[in-house]
Amino acid sequence: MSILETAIALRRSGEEEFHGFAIAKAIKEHGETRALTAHGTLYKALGRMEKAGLLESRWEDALAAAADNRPRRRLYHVTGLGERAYSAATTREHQPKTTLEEGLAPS
Amino acid sequence: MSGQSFSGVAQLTRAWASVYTRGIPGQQRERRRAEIDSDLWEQSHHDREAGRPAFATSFEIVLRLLLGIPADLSWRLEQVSPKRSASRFYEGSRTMLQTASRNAVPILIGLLAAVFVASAFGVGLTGDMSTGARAFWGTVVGIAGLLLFAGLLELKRRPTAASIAIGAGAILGAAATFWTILTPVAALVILVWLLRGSRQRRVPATA
Repeated sequence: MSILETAIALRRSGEEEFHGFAIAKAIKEHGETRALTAHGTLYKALGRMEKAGLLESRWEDALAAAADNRPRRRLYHVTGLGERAYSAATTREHQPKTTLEEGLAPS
Repeated sequence: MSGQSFSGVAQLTRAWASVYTRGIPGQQRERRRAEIDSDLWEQSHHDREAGRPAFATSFEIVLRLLLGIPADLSWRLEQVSPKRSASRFYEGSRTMLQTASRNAVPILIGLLAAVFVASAFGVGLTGDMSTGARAFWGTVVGIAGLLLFAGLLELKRRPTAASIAIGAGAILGAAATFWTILTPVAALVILVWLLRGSRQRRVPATA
């Protein structure tokens, strides 16, 4: 399960925003991987997706973090472009193969 | 040891983040470091709430750190190289190397400890030794790894005791795995570093 797919699943379950560890945990819980995504892989991917306009992010309110006595979270959310890109990708995935593609497929 | 093992791996993760973000423009650097810091806190908090043993959390963090190194380095290249002048790239790489060389031996100690602990389990799996020999060598190498880890964690608070633990761990581990050549060389580097450190501690600063 990809970051985008997991983020959309979280959004549909009512979690509009997520932080890095939350998405790593969700990916693990959805059963795609047995371990949490590596720090480097995760934050590099999130950064790239943000650059591509699929995600947006902001620092959470410092007071909220201070109240819980923890470091501030960087909160991400899926943009409209991210939703559309995911829908387009899933539609393509579920589209029946064209006659040409079937003809080119190895038998 | 459980809480200490977590704080040790958290420190190692932060140290690595400070190495590969060195020389990167302020905002990007601070963001990555803060995100790693937050992630470490969230994972330890989540695992504690779930009643997961601290060593399991520490092990998973080390795994996340090690598996992410290639992505960290390529992210660094992306941050430093595109649309930047050659001199800026050179400057960024130089500062990263300086930080890495300052932390090189502690990182080496951490890696050697991880190798020894992993080997302790690996020895138990090899079939070319008797059960008794496997248990003996597995224990020796495991103790060496734990001495290195313990020394690394206590290096700032109790430098003399920590240096003795690291030295003992390096010698013990190197003696048990001398045929690899690499571990005796690494142990030698660590011992020279420890000796230089103890000499510097004995000579008071006069400036």
